[in-house]
Amino acid sequence: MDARSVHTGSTIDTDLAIVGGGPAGISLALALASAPIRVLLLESGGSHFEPATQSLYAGEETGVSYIPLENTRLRYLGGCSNHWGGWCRPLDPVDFEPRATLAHSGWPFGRAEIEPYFARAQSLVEAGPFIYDETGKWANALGAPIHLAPGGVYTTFFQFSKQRGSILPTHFGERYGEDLRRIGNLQALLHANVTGLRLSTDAARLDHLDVATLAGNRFKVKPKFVVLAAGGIETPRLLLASNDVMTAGVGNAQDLVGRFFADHPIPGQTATLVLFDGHVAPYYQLPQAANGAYFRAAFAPRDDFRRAHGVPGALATVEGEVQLDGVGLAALAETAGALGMDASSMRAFTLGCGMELAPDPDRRVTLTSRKDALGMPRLKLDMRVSDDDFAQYRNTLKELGRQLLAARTGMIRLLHTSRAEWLAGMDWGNHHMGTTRMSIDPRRGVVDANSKVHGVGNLYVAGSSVFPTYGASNPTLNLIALVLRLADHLKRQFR
Amino acid sequence: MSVAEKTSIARRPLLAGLLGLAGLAVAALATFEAPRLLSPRHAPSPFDDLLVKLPDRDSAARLGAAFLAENRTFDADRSATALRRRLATRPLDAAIQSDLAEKRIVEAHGWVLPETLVSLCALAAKAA
Repeated sequence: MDARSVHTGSTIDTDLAIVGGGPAGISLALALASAPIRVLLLESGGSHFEPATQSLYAGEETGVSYIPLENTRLRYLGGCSNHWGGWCRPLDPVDFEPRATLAHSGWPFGRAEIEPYFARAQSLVEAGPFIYDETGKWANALGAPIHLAPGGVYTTFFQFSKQRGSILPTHFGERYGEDLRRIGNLQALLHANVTGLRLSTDAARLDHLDVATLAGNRFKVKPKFVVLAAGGIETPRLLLASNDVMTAGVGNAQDLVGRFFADHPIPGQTATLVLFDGHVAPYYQLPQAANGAYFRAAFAPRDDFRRAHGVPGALATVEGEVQLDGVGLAALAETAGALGMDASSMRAFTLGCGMELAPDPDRRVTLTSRKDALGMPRLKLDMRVSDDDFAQYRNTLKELGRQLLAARTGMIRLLHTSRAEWLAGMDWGNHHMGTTRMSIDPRRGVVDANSKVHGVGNLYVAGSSVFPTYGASNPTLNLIALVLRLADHLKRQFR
Repeated sequence: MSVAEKTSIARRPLLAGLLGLAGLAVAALATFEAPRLLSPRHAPSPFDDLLVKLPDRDSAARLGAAFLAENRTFDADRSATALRRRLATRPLDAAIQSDLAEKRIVEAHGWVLPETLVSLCALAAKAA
């Protein structure tokens, strides 16, 4: 159904409103398909990209250069899965733990809490059987992993969302649009922009949603429960802009909404990896198929290494082959010679990287005085990356270098020494996290351990904006597991 | 006498002359270059007892120079003393493995390397 056909001034009653039709919103709607709950899915866009809708995302940025806000996400059915690369990997147990070495770290629960949901999440992203680091069994048939001496870094594995004709991972709108239409209790409204979260006068509950279309229709949705699944940038925008009852914005009594924004920096060409024998198994450089899964290897710090040294998550991938310069050839000759290794067949590769940022309350989104076409305040992102984030990542790569040398396998060169060098080659994962962080303590989090907004009885948030600590893994699989857990919680609310 | 035999006889004095010239050239080269060729390849340095352990002194000097450019406070004498102690009872390979086990690693032009090896390379650069 299209919201442009809803009469202005009308009110739609429903049990549950889901705001946002990306991977989180669609997964939640699918998970509630068999529950006796009337669900209304409100999606701002249509089935395909529309420039006028997309421009509602435009905003301002300060600080470290980041992707323009209108380009780092997609505003139509399927949301960010429409430009998803399909990379999947569960968060590590240490990602959930509070760590003395990492301020503001820790989830209200451990990985075991979402572990039961990974298999179904894996099914939704169509990444084959949930095997990940068990992949090694099949990978060995394609070539031995790069030998590392014992230490803090190991070879781990990504899996990939289903590749269709080597083009697409699972685009949730295309893939599940027909499934959504078949759900009897579900109504999906396209072109429906939520412009306000209207609280009861005592601010204890959400009373209704204001909805508008770019065609000019304005109507209300009156739900029993609401789940905001609009992404890590738009969800805080909605909360902050809905400031008629709570002047700081809904759920923002502690001034936490919009803070702790995070993404995964992907600095280009972070290191050069030299392998003395020149041999690298194919699964390090490109996804390989085995046992119904596409997988690719990466180097990651072990959990115990991260705990001991306060190191954030990182995932380094082997990329293209490169030539060594004069000093590099000298380093190779001297090192291989000293280790008694024959380097006549050596090959060198660049290492790519996805890394975790430390939580930072000053890396945040705030409202500006500029308005979009629907009258909603636009956002400003203050993007920051600390020197310590880079320093810690270098420590992980140094450990990898040490293990390569100790195993007489190869060596590593770190390419960036200064903050400016790191930032010059910076790219980002488009993984928006942290802006409605989860904590059982209302002074430290926007939502509780069930993803319910503190202080508001019927308002929930779904998606990676609730991640209080981020890990280096791509968030989609993990946020879907968390959404499936939320679905079980919501079902209990309707019993 | 055939034409071919006549040509062969005419070439003999020419070949003899050429061989003579080549002999003179070799003698001249030997006279002027022998001292250089026979002398040690690198000038004597206070670190030769250590530098002899390096696999390739020219490569070491190049890498060492890159390290020194980023570490201007490197103290060659102090480093040499430490290296002599470290290498007194074990070969270079064992000292390197000890560095790696005990995480004594340093960066030289970004290369992550064992401290002992980089210190030797820095001395090679100082000696060059």
